[in-house]
Amino acid sequence: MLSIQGLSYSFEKEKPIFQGLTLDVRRGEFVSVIGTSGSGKSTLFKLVTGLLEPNQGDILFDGQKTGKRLGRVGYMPQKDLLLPWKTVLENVLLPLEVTKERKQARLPEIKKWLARFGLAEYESSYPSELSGGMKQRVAFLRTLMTGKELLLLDEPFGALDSMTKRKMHKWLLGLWGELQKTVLFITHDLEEAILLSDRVYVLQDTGIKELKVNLPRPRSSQLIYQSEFLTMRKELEMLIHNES
Amino acid sequence: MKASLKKWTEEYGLFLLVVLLLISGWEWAVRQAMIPSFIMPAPSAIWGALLENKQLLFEEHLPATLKEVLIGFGLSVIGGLILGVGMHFSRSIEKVLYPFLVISQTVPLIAISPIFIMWFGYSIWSKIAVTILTAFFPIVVSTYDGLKTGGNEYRELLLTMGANRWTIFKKIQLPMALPVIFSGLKLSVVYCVVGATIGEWLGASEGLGYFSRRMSGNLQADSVFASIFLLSMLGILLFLLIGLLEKQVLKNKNRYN
Amino acid sequence: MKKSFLILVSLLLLILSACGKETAEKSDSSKDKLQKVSLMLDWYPNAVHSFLFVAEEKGYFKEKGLDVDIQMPADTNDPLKLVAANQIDMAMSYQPQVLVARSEDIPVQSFGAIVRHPLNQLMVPADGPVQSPKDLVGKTIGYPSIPLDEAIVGTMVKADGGDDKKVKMVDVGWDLIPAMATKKTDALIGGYINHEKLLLEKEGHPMRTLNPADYGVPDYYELVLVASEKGLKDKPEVFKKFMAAITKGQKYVQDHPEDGLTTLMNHEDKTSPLEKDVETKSLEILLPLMDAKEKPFGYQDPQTWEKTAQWLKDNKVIKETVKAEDAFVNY
Repeated sequence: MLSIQGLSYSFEKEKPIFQGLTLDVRRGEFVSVIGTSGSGKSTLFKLVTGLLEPNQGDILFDGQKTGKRLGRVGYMPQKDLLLPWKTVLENVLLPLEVTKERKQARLPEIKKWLARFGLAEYESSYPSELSGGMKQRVAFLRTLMTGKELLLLDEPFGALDSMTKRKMHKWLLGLWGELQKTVLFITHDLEEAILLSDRVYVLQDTGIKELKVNLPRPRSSQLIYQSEFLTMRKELEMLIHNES
Repeated sequence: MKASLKKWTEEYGLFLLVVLLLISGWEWAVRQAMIPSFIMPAPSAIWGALLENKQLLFEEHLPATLKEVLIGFGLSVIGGLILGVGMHFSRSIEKVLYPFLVISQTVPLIAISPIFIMWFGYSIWSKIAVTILTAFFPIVVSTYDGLKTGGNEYRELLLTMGANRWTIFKKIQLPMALPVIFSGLKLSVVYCVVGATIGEWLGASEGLGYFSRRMSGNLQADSVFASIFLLSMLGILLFLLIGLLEKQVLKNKNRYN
Repeated sequence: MKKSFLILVSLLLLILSACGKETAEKSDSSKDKLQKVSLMLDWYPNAVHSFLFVAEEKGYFKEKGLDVDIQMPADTNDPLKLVAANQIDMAMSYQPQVLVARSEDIPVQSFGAIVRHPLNQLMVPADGPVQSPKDLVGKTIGYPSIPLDEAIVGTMVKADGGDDKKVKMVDVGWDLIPAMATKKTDALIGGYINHEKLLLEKEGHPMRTLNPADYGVPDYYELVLVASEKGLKDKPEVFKKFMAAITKGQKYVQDHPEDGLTTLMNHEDKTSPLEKDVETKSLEILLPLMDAKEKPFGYQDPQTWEKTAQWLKDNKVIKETVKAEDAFVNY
């Protein structure tokens, strides 16, 4: 569904963040991108969403080189960026307001999702009244509401404490089947990457490496205690450290 | 109701006490002839002059000045907002207009007043012109600066949703600029009172500024201070009104993290 | 919290005490040979003040043991008030204004008449339809919002047989010239024949002037020297010396007008130069009006004071009767 070929980008007059990058994401996949800070993960996302233009290379959607990428993917930034003066419901509806879609028609669907996300009673609450985990869920729902097939999630659980994070993993895994989306996911948490993804890309100075996560779906959060999981972890770590 | 009154006295009780002390001290000083009454009349004399002239003040002069202030403020708000937004959307407008704006504030009124008189004569419009001259600047600057600070990250988020410049302006930049804009409005409304008064000094037939000038010419200091007192009250009242409006509008915005 | 409160209170008291009565410094010590005297002008220095600058430059003040500090007013009402409050020793003001002040219990007195006739005259465009005050009926007159000017116009129109209620007075602020230059009013009162008239002429608006004294207004003293009652009572010798010095100064200006003017111009060149042609004409107009003829320079005629006081009362410019003879002192 998404194909990146030979992508190169550098900020003005600086060393290139990456050169000749190639990766792809197939429909229905959950793909993680791991890398150290500064390896260019967020920049990669900005390029895919259309906020930046590559110096070299192509970004193809369903095999087509599209003119305008802005508005083609659902983007969830690292910070929840919920509008503090709007309620949860209003925040979730934001993408619809932007595209000037008729909100009334989608309301029942949205309320269903709010309940599914455990936010039903918080419909009229303001972001300042929510916990970190809840805000992330609202932001995620907002991203879903863009209605786009491909979702780019930039370290959505990065700022959460480990207990909340585990809860979010459980929640997301439970939801994955229903969502019917394609996800490109940034994280620096190896465990999280393996647990959630079908494939993991490792972004390094020398280039990009790929690992296929051979764990069956549907997955449970208890998976992290299983031996297959540990095997995958070892494989991933070896892949990462196979450079220095 | 009682609770908020109590809270109010708690917060401003000290201020009131100081004011009371100052007024009593002032009254005593004048009575003891420490301060000449024709330079700074006693508070009791000022109050007396206020009552004596209350018909003139409240039925003729205060409404006249109030009219100038309100019209001047209204036009300043409309003009200021339009200019501020215009400068936000267009770099060329900003580059051309900003220097003129600053210049308009530095030119002394003595130089401009004959021009205003030539254009507006001694009608209410020359007072409104002076009012607008001082009052629209804070609005333009606060609008423009407020819109600039409008969250770059939010802007990017909306761009990925396919938003255009106008949508981003409406949904993000304008709401985020409102607190600063209100600051500008509060400044502006007070400047309007000052501006209207000065405008009246350029030539008027009614208004608190005009009245105080006449009384000053008559060496009736207590009447001068009475009209100054009313002007201050007017300024304070308008300031508080804007503050109230601000509270209402920003009711939700106060939920910033 | 308590500490900051104490600091605040002491600061407040400090400020209040500093704002208290400042005693005007009169260095009478034997160390200083010259007596310091402060004088505030009625307005910016111009031709009428030549005698002061001549007295200063030629050392007439010094001869009398005086060191005169000439100051500028911020507002035309300041000189009178500051003199009464003993912040300044003497000032230049206007005879009618002295009477108004006294009716408000402000303790000032006049001790010398400098310009003995009205400079404030009614002005209309020279090529206009107004020939005499009664032609002003139905027209607008610009003025600087001083009740005195209202009274002057009223008296002039009435004396000429017109209905003064049918004349519209328009306050044009402190800057009188734009009113006529932009033709926003039909006439002007409050302008001086030796200043506004000359400036308007220079800008191409020649004016016809109507003298209030010709139309029922007493021939009042436009500019007088004032001091506080207290000052005049306590230190008459200072004022006598001052009058002697300026009499000499005025004589010099009368005998050598160009020279006197040059002294003024040189003094003003340092801060804000005057226009020579305007000031020359101004002095020409002024000199005869400052001449006391057989009487000493500055002598005040009790009759003038009586008439002016009465006229002010009749025209409701002052509310209570003021005893004219208490308003002035002759040296």
